[in-house]
Amino acid sequence: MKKGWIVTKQSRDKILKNLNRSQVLHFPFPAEPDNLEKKLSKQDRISLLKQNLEKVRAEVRLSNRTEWVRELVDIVESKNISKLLYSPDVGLDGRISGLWHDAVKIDRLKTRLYSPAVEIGADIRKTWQADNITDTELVEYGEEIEIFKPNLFEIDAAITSTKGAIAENGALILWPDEKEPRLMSLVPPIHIALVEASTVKTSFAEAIECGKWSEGMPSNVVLVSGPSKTADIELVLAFGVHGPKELIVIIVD
Amino acid sequence: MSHKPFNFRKNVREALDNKQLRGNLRFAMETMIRNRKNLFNDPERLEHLRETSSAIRSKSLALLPRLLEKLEQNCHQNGIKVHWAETVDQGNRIVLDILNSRNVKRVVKGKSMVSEEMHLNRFLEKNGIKPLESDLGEYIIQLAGEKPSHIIVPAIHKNKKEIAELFHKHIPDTPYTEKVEELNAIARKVLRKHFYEAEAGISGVNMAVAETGTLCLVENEGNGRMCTTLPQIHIALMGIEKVVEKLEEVPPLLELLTGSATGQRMTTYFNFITSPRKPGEKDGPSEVHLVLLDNGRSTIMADKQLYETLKCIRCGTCLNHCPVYTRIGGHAYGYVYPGPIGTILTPQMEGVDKTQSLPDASSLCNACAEVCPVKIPIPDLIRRIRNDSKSSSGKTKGSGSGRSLMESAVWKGWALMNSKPELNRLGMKAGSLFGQYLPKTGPLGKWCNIRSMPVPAKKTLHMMADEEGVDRD
Repeated sequence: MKKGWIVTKQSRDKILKNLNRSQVLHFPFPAEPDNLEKKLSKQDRISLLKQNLEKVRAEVRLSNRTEWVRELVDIVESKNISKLLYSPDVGLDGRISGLWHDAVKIDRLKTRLYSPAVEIGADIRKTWQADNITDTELVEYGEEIEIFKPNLFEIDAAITSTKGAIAENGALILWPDEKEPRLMSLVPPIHIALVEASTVKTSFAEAIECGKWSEGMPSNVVLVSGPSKTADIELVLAFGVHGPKELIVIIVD
Repeated sequence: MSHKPFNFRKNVREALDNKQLRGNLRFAMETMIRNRKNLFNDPERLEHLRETSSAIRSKSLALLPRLLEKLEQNCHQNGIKVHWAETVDQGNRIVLDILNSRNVKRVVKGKSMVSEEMHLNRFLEKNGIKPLESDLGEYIIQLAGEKPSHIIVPAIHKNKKEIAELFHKHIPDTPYTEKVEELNAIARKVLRKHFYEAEAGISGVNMAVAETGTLCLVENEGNGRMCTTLPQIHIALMGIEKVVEKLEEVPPLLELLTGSATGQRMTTYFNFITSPRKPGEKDGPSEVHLVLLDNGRSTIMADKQLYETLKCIRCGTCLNHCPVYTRIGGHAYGYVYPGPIGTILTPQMEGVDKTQSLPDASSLCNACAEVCPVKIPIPDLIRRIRNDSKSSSGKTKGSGSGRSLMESAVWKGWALMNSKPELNRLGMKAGSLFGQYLPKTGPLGKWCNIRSMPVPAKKTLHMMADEEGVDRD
């Protein structure tokens, strides 16, 4: 390894030396970032997001804070999901905390407009107990992948939160962490994602700017637009290649 | 590929005779052109995006050494190990060292043009490791023992019958089926098992962000995410030119990349990888390596004109729009990068002496320049490389190798004839009288192989002007 390191260090210095000789000094500075973009109202953002997601074969359901679990139960029953992967203590609250603080600064009154947070894990558990749902087993991503792998590949569906969504791109912003590991949204054949309506942005640029992404990125962020797909055989579009075959989005308003 | 001596003209003849290939290509390219056109239906917005993206790429190149150092520093801080490879051979050895020192045998791979450039699979196979291609198109051509023929849709030269046969022959217990859905399902099943077992994943990088030390990967299938998330080790391969300074520069590039490539507003996945698994996290690779490959790029950067080649974001739209590519396909180009971008990139990497008549693979119709999302003046660069290949003072690798005494003599004669009015008149007259009797041998014979020779007019323009009484002064 030591020898390998010396070689790569020498190469590094040589490459940089070569590059420093290059004469590409003049460059036109980029025009203002996308000034053609117009900001949309919240309702327009949500309907554009829905429209764009449906174009790429995602299923979109509009719901609210108290009834979203009903949608989930409906999905679980209609798709015959026997194992649902979820995170017991994740909610949409943490996801909008940034927004919350901003709102506090701007206008104290406004904060009252925010309804109580959505406790995804707790809501699911409560509903499962109250309705005595036994056909669908709730599974937690309890251990590291090396141990959990055999179980993960047996899961029918996973539900995750999102950091937000981008209307123009028809994309969800997934922000995996300790509670919601990266593979939850990839390995199970069905991915159900919860989107807080107030976190839907018009454009990708806006999402990066408002979320202050440049100040520090987590290990992994994924934008997801629809179920996995390919057109590698004769350009025939087919869904569900390596990732999820279905993406179901519940927008909570 | 490169074990046979490269003969572009022979390749072209063979490709043109392949009716199946021409049919497949024609249909595919027309579809891709249409999809792109439907998406970019606002010319003003498209132009604005191209201006912005071209400027971002130029800026990135102008700041390249600084951005690479910044990327290295930030990746290091995030826990990503950065390796530098000046040559393809060094790059391959770095990958092999990582795999061997951790005793890795099972490797899955996502699509990466840089890995093709390195002939990484061939190298690793020689050393006892056979990486499995997991992008559906790449998987198909790996089964067939071929190379990609298109940057974005690598198996575009194959139709479903050929693929059905490949699957039936190479995958145990697979019945023959031409149904695309079923073929996809077969690939999903086979590859899932490999993802499950893989100890390392290799991927390319679409762009890297210096300010945060983030690698960005674009894909539709999810195989890229599998390769970069499931195995313990992730090795990302990247050409040194693919870095941008800021995250805010990503959205316009992404929009143009996916739109130009496939006419999609957005791919299914856009993956930002900033660090390996952190303490407390339950998945993600425990090691992430970034291999930065030069392979001639830093030399290309030294040229004030040719450096623009490196603005390329590998969308492949110049291939789709090229009248030459759409007729001969990717394999005829004989190297990893086909189409207009290959016509300028390959001679600079390999040397014009090796690629010979490759820069001739263009009618200079300008279609590529009109659609290029980052405004690379491809036809200008083709002309420049053609010149360099004939001129001993050219700067491209292998310059002057295409010089021939006869050609120089012909051009000298032509210059002389056109600078002396009396010689010009004589020449024109001779041409109009005897031109049609010129023997069709030598270069003229070659030219006439696929074209009919024009018959010179009986009278020259000067003669007609004199007859009509046009005042020539």
